[in-house]
Amino acid sequence: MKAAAQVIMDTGAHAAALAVKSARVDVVPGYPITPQTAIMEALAAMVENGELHARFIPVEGEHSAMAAAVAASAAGARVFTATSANGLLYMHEVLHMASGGRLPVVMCNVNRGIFAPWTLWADHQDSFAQRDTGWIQYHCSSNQEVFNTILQAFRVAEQINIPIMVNFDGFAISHCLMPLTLPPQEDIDRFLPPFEPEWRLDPAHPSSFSNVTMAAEYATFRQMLADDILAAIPLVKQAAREYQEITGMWDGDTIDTYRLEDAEVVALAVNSMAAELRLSVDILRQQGIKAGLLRPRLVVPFPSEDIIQVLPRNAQVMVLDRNYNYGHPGGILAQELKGALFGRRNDITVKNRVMGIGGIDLPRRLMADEIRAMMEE
Amino acid sequence: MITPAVPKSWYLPTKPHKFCPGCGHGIVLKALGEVIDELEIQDQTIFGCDIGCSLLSWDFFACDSTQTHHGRTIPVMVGIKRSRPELITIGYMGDGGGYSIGSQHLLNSAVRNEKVTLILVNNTNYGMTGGQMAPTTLPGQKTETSPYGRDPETTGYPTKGPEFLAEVTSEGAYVARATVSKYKQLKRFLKNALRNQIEGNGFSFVEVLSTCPTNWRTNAQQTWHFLEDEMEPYFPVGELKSPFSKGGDK
Repeated sequence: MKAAAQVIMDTGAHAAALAVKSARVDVVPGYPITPQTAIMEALAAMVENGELHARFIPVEGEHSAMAAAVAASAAGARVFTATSANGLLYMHEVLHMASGGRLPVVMCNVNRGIFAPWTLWADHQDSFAQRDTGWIQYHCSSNQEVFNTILQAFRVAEQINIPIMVNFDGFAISHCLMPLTLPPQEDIDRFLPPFEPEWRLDPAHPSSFSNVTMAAEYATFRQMLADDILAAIPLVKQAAREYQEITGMWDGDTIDTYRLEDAEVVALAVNSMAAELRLSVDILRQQGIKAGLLRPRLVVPFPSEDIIQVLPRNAQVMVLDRNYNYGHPGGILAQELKGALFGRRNDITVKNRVMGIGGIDLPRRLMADEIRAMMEE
Repeated sequence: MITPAVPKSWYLPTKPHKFCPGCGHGIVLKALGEVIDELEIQDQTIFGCDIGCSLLSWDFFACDSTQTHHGRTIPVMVGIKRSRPELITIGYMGDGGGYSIGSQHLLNSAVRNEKVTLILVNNTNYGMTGGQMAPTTLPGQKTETSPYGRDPETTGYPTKGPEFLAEVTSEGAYVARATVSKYKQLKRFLKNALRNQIEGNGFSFVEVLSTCPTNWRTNAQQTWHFLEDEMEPYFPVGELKSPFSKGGDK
């Protein structure tokens, strides 16, 4: 008889660890940083008590965590690590080694504002600052989506040999309990087969890895990475669809929408604030405003075509950014959206607010009020 | 009401301090405050604290202070000292900041004989993030990332910082290990480490063995037992290198 899905209450951080266990990861290098630490603690315990047959490497910092992840991946292992904020920034140099080396590492970044000054709470400057590292980036708005997305990320990463960052907000997601459905392991194994790299470091077949290249070769590698990141979009869609077929769960593919079909005012945001925005949309609808939500799950590659297709005619898009786009007014999501729409959808108006920096609370009514105020501008 | 005597250099509006009950940081910072008073250096001192529990000392003293990235307190202190040699720079960190994520800075500033004073509080775990395994975790010690006890086979043996710093530093360096269980000796070592900077002799480093009942999950008696009977035999207390006494103070 087929095993049934199990429903539990769990935090986002522990949901991430359970997904990593279900993915049958081989190597986990880790270094603690709030609010990510709970993921590493859970994985270390799973490794020690034998639930997860993996090697846990307690390295001395995030730079080393990513270096060990890259190396383990090059040796043919399925690798996971996690970090937050300044830990992610400290990894920055090695993030390029993972993407340039075409190694399908999957990492959770639990979003947290950046030093200086210090803050512990969520905004999206950390992950958005890594936009140009050649990593694919998902952003998740629920504990279930974190679980589902990690499995989808391994699948996509290993199909196209590009590392993937799965982002979700510190505390609002990482430390809050929500119902979590755990599909039977046999279903997960069907969705995510064992990692069979096309190439790996192997002393029986000596080769060199990540060495100096001449200009023409270097440019070729860069162009291949740029092309393949865009080519990941159909794979992301396919992974979401097949995950739905096997588990019955759907969080959207490159984007997620809510009451969008007839919307005249569209709220656009990522992560936990986008979950709260669904409720803001309901409030606005009750007030007679035809509101809808467009939530990009993918930020890199930016799902431009899907957004162009799905936006209703003459809509006003209210982009709520939880980050700053220094050197421009407003935030990075708004700039990405304008870039996608320019010359393609001249009927769309884009307005922008930066909100919720350093974890400032974003309740539904406040965001509904803000969207109404933006309509007046 | 009797008000206990407190160092003049303490910033009183921030007292009582923010550390957990039973934490050793308060003892180290009281000794440091008394030494700053005795050496009359409060108005020349820049206090830099790392990430981890040590950062809770950022407003402990009525001195200029700065917080840095995790592990970067040492080069920040070096930068201040090289640009304003007349100032007294005190870097304050934990075993996570000094021996793991900042270990390259610790080693290289020691090799360069930078004339800064560094105080590293060793409580055998990453305290601020909730008690994970640190480089100083004892063999067999249970932490959040070694729930069945540290296994030296896979994670090596605890870092002995003063021992390796004594090997790599030049003439004029001061290297010692103190413990919060021996207050007078702790204060003497901190004073020597600051005198060494004031006299311009060289790099100065004091590791202080300290307590963490919150993450050790110990009561008062168990806490003191772990410090005196588990940590102190593993990490011998004393001066390993001193321009002030040839053989060092054991």
